[in-house]
Amino acid sequence: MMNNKIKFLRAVKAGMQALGMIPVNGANKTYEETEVRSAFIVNANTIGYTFGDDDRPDRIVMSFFASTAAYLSKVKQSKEDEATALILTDLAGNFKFAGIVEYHNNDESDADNWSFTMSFNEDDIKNLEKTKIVKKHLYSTDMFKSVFDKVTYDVAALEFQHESYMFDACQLVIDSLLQVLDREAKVGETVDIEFPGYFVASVSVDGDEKIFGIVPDGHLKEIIKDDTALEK
Amino acid sequence: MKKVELGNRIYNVITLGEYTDQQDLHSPKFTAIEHGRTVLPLRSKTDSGPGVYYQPNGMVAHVVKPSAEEADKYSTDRIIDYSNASSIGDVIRNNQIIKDIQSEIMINSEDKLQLNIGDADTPEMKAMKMAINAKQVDKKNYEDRFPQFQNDMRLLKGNSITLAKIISICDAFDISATLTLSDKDDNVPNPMNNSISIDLTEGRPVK
Repeated sequence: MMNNKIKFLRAVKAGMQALGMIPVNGANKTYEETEVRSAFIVNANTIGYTFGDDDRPDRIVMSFFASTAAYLSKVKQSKEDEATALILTDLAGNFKFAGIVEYHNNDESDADNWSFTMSFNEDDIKNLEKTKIVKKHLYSTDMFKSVFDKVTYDVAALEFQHESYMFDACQLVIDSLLQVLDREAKVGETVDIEFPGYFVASVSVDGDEKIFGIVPDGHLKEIIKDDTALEK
Repeated sequence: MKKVELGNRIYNVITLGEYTDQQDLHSPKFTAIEHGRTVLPLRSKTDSGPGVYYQPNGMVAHVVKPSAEEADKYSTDRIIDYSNASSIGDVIRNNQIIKDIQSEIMINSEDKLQLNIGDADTPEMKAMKMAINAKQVDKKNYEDRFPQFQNDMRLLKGNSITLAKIISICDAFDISATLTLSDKDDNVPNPMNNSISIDLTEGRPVK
């Protein structure tokens, strides 16, 4: 269900490339090839945070997505008619981003089957609510902050200098990523930004509308399956 | 209040958020940051080794974690927590533990302070330098006792010193200083016929 529009556009793009209607060259970039880091630093400066010329913004980005998966792995539901969403809103309550985990019963195996998706589009949550009860959690809670704090310390060797900075960090990650995707958008192309192990974020242009999408990479899916990720 | 000994220095232990909130109250050189099961000294960017590298006005501090072999040295198990004290006896016991650790650090230090004594030194400065040299101290271990450590160390490289400075430096280095006033000799006019001694570091007359 999630990012169906992106998947559809990619399929169309692949078909058009196969027919020679558009060049095969895509616009795939790794995170390091983009300006997400500098966008993050500029945005952080405007709200009073100093960053040096090192990779701290990248490590915060990495920690944010790993924390999203780690948090959802702790609170996920084992009922097929329920889903769990971790939602980021701005201070006015407007939707910005969500991580979502759903349980799927696997009759052919004893192993539980979890799907983990992410979205920049509130409609994805609304559509999911038509078929499932969505348990909503917020990034602004102390429970998420404690996960973010631990993951950032353990995974990225960084410590937030104050607990209250964590919510700003969440906003900066998503704002900076969307800002760069917006800049990279090209008519007739799907532009991917890949942060190996963490996510592939995309933008495509549909008429006058820019469509932003994001899918988790393998490492995050592993975290979702692992209830004990935080204890390690 | 929490304290811990890390690498031959006693630190006050707080969280990084507490340090950010109250930087004026905590000397970074004597502050260690507790996080989870680890306690690490606060560091500036010119330092090296395990620690929390604070960035003024920054969002995040860089953390250099100890190696697996060093992990025990930086474990929160080593923290002496005064808030756990349930009686005066516990407080006294904790104070004694800290005092013993401090003595151990001060005695076992290898970097001894030796001041040059020259002809140009005034008698009171000579006495001050001789006393410090005799103690064979590592000045770093006494740093937290000086309100202006670097200034005072610079002053000890000079040739003269005020009485007020002698008193404060003696106090910091656990040296007792006595001032004795007496007749220069038996033949002076209007003799005091008595000698007056004052323990400067305690401020009480000596009997």
